[in-house]
Amino acid sequence: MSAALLEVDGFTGGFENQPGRIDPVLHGVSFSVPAGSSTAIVGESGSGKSITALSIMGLAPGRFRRTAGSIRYAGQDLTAMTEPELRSIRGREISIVFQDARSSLNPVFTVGTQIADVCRTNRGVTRREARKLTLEMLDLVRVPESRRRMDQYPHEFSGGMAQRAMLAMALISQPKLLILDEPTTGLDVTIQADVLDLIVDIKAETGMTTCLITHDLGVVAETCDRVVVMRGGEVKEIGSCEQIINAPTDPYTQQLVADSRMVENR
Amino acid sequence: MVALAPPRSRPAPGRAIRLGRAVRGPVLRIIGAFVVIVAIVSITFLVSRVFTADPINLFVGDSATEATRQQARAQLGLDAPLIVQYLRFLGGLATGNFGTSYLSGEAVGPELFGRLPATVELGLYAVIVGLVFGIIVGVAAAVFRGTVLDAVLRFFTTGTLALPQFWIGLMLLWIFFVNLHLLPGPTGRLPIGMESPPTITGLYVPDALLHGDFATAVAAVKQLVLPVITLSVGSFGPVARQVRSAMVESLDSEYVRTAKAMGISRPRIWFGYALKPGLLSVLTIGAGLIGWTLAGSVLVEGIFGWPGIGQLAITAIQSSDYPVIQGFVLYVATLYVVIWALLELVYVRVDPRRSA
Ligand SMILES: Nc1ncnc2c1ncn2[C@@H]1O[C@H](COP(=O)(O)OP(=O)(O)OP(=O)(O)O)[C@@H](O)[C@H]1O
Ligand SMILES: [Mg+2]
Repeated sequence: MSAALLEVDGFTGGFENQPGRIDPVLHGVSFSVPAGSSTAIVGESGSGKSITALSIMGLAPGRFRRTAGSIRYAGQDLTAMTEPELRSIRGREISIVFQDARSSLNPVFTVGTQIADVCRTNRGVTRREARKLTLEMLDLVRVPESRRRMDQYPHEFSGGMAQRAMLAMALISQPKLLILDEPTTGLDVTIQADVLDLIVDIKAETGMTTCLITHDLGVVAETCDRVVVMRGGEVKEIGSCEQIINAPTDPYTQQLVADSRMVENR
Repeated sequence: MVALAPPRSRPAPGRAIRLGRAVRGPVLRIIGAFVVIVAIVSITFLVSRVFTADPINLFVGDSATEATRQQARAQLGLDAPLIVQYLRFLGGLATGNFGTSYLSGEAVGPELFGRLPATVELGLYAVIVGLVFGIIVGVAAAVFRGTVLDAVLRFFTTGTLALPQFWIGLMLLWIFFVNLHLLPGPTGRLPIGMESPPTITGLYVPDALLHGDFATAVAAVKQLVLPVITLSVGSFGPVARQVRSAMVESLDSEYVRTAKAMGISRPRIWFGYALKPGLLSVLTIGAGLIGWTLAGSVLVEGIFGWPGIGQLAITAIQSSDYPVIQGFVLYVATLYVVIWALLELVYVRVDPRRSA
């Protein structure tokens, strides 16, 4: 595996819920995402996975304050970048699929318009071409009847289809790193499996680096080669997929693995 | 696995039925609008007759005898029982006869329509200016909320809401006409002595331009500047405030976060992704303001000597000129009904969730 594409180093921060006082949420989070890898971030609800992902994008909520640490992408410190610099990274270099696809899509624009907009912004193609690429991308992520669907609004989409559309939007600017924040939570099991297969296929095809956030170790086993285990805003353990699942060293990871075995055997 | 029977397809409705369905909505809507207009006009008919002064004094002197008065009444048809007058009035409406003004002796229809272009030209520009600036200022205030710019814009917006319109109009005249001599005085649509351009649309600026008469167009624009600003202030404030509050909400939304995460440019986010979801509430306010503006403003028309419909209406009310009052109310009622009907159409375009 080659050098790290993304390095989160001692990232610490919290929410300034009252002026002057910061409630810590992340404590020295450090992990790296090697180029070409598929790294998973696993942890229970509230462990700080989404905040970490949003911080990478420079889109943490307004009251979040970084108090220490850095996030380097291809050697550049993202935390030191200005807004315009970040804008040139977002979409093109790093893209993200959010946790709840339906509320992450704009309700008053058609799905096709939204994806084509992203395409035009990041690939500098004409309106016509963007529409064509959007259609191809919707086919790639297996949205049925893509031609009709692209002129529909998000509320006309099912959850699984919205998730695919969101994936198409993230993929259309051909990012080098794709972050997926629980892309299958809230979908029913068969659709969940479909979407995961799709992600694995696309990754195999494009060689893109992915960072999959989930609380489900079962998902990790099938799709990832590296695992970062988080709990309470701290990184508990980092290892290869086999090592984490077969020989976890951290007590919390051990419990997580045992729990997911129990679910599987039931 | 149990094989599912293929869903039985229902026979498609025949063409006649489909057409019937497509037509029924609009037809019902038109009938509804018609009923509303007739109701409003009828109420005005009754109320104006019960609550305003006897118009007969317009025709006969104070010292006239009861016999003369009675004669004048008979001539105007005001001696008949109210119900007969009302039926006559409805009959007139049905045939497009709105009666004759007591004051000028002219037919009400042409008199109103003659003044309409002046009101429309002033109102239209004022609405456009008010909406455009309201939206820009609202967006800017929301995007830069909590900054000095937001505070300045809020002060400005509140100012336009708090200051009376006639005062704003008079101040503008005092500054730009009396002191700076930059703009012409309140002489109506054109400077005194200037010929109006031959009518095409009735609006002087486009008419003059269509005839290639730039001097008249420029003169008409100069006459328009101050009244348009004064009138637009009335729609600017409410729109700016509504846009700001709708924008503040959607700027924090998940879908705007998505647009940012995908690298969409800031103007596109502000005026597209963040503004459009909140536009519905702005449109509702905007439609009311468009109606209000096009109904003619008595104050603004009065200050700037503008020969519009508002001035006609106020004179008619003061002198119980029933036919003109009724004509004016009919115009305003129709105006609002049309605007609200158009709004329904625009709603669905702006917010697809409403059609579901
Ligand atoms: N806007 C916010 N204001 C204050 N605290 C917040 C905010 N968003 C998140 N937090 C806190 O930050 C912590 C981490 O939240 P985060 O969303 O990263 O969890 P997560 O690991 O993504 O959980 P889940 O699996 O439920 O998505 C939580 O304790 C949460 O309470
Ligand atoms: Mg989360």
